[in-house]
Amino acid sequence: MPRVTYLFRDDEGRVGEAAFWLPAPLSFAVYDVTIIELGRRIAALSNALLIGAELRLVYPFSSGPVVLPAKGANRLLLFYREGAIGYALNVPAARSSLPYDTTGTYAGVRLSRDSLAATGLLADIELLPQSLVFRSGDPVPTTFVVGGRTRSGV
Amino acid sequence: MPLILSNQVPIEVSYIFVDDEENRSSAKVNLPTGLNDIQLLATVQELGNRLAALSNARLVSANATRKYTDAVAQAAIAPPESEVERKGKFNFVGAGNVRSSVEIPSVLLTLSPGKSDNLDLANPLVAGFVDAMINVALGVGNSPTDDKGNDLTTLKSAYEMHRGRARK
Repeated sequence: MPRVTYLFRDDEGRVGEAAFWLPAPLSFAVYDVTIIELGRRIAALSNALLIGAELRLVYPFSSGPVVLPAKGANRLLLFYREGAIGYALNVPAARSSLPYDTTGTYAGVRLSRDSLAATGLLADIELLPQSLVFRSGDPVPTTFVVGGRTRSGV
Repeated sequence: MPLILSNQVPIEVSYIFVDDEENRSSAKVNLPTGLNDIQLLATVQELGNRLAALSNARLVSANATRKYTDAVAQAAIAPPESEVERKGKFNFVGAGNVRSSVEIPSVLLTLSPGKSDNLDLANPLVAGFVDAMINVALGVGNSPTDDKGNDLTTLKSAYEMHRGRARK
């Protein structure tokens, strides 16, 4: 169920929360009206400042086999770059079947653009950041995967 | 000034992966605030499918967070009598007879007059909040629910309490 959390701040800078569940599915337009109106009524009961709210939506998935443990296994970092702007996407429990380099210093951990292209994975991976944005709201580079590599840990 | 949907902070999406030992880990991305509910669902599913293809842990869910802010409140200082560890606790039950509680930080002291900790249900501010929670003041089908999605129908109790759950 969607959950809304209202954030209140008191005079000492401490933040408290009021949270509850909302029905699903509703359109974002209805959620916006509901959250703003409930926020108005809740704020009237408090002398702390209602500084914000968060609506958390959960989308269930059920995909993929469980083969390797994510803890202690390799994470996959996919790097995107466009000019001076870069972005790294972090994926848990990287599949060992991905086309890692087989020679050189980074054998077994690096995914070069060429190896991704050779297996046909590049087209899929290049599409990943199509609609991603940085925390600033600026779009993540969309055109160029420079490669990937794994690192240990979760 | 009321809350508004923030156009400064993107929608945060955490993809939750679980391994065979039930360890959890996540891949986090940011999506544009301007996506509507249908576009967000489609984007989350499509990205999830592509991420799952790269991992051999199981992708179990994606959590998306939309953020609202009040810029005026953000810049203001709360009055000295504010205290977020003082809560107004409202206990509701829904159609499934499951209890669901809401704790409102720094509840006004004037809402629990006298020596009682009970909140005054006849107070228009309290009544207005309760009405929005259990009736159709927000529109039919739009009111809050319990965690199973059952509509909240009854207020069982409302009182002031203290609890140290503030974060700095």
